[in-house]
Amino acid sequence: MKSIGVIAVVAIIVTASVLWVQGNRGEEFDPYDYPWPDVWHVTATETFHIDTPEGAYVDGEIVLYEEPDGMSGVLSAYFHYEELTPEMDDYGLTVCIPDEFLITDVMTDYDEPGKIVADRVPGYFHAVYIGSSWSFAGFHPGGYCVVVEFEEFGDIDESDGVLEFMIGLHSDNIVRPVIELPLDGERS
Amino acid sequence: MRASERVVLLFTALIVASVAAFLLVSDGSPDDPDDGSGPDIHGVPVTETFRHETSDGAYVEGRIVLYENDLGLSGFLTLDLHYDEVHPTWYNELLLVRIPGEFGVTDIMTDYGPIWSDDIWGTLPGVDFSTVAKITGYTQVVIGRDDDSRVPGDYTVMISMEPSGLVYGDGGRLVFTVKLESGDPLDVVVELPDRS
Repeated sequence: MKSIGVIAVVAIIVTASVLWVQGNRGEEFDPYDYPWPDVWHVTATETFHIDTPEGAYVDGEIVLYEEPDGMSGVLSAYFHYEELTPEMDDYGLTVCIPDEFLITDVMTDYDEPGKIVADRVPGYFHAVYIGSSWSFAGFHPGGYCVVVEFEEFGDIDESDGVLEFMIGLHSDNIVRPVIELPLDGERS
Repeated sequence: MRASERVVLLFTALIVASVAAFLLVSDGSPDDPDDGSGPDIHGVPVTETFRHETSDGAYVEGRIVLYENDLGLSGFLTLDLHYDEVHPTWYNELLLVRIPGEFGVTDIMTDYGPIWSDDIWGTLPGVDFSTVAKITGYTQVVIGRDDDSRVPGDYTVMISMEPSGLVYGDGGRLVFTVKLESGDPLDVVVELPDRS
């Protein structure tokens, strides 16, 4: 039984160590633990722009880059509008990401987090809506930024390599930036 | 060792291995899109845009976005770089960016090439003859130093950063510096909101 006791103690120590390591992930960043940043190759970039008849606009950029476990990307959009009109009875800004990716983080200065919706829609894996119609009471004219981070989910090399994004400002102002990737292992 | 002891030992080992494997693997695996958790949403307290251009037509446009996450104030800086020609007198860094010391640089994403790598960068795609130097007070990211293979064109650089401590700035101000080789340094000042 003595050996069992020793093994049990060792097992508890191992478990506690794993839990401790796990619990300390996400601690304050120590730059001196990271002598060099990781450097990733950007595979593709694409910009987009929307102008509406009411004077609202969106400026944005998509950046795709390769990480060891697949392709990741960042879509940043900056939108501005001066006024709300009855015709704007729809989502404020919609960002759709193709289904080869999974959205991991959304950063925005739109200051009503409860009115930001990330959802799954047919044809796209995830969509982010900023300021839907039911939130107009709190959706004020001005300038806002939205940054969407996403990572590969599935295998892009098994798709047709055509990645179509969709960005819409209110009802009828939509752009569909398309990025065509080289496949057959030529991505990087 | 008796059979009952072996059984106890086996179960103990299985439990420990299962817990360790679950905790280690679950952290690195992609989110389950159907688990209903959705992406994390972070507030952005500060954005700042800038444009830096030189008399020879080179320019860099960029934006700084700082957002709150569980580490504190994190952020990234995006730069779109363009230059038409390489001057014979250029011999220093093509593009220099200084990040305030409150941040540590975690990732650099760029299409500037050709790809170069050595022991510093490991086997990962790197930046052609670029350096990242830790200097007291700020982190310096340099693209294209002493590089004979510079090719005029358009390039993208993204720099991700995380807090190396509490981010208060100097009197609530953070100063980023951007410099193209043939231009004067541009200080981009970010005023931090009161986060108390």
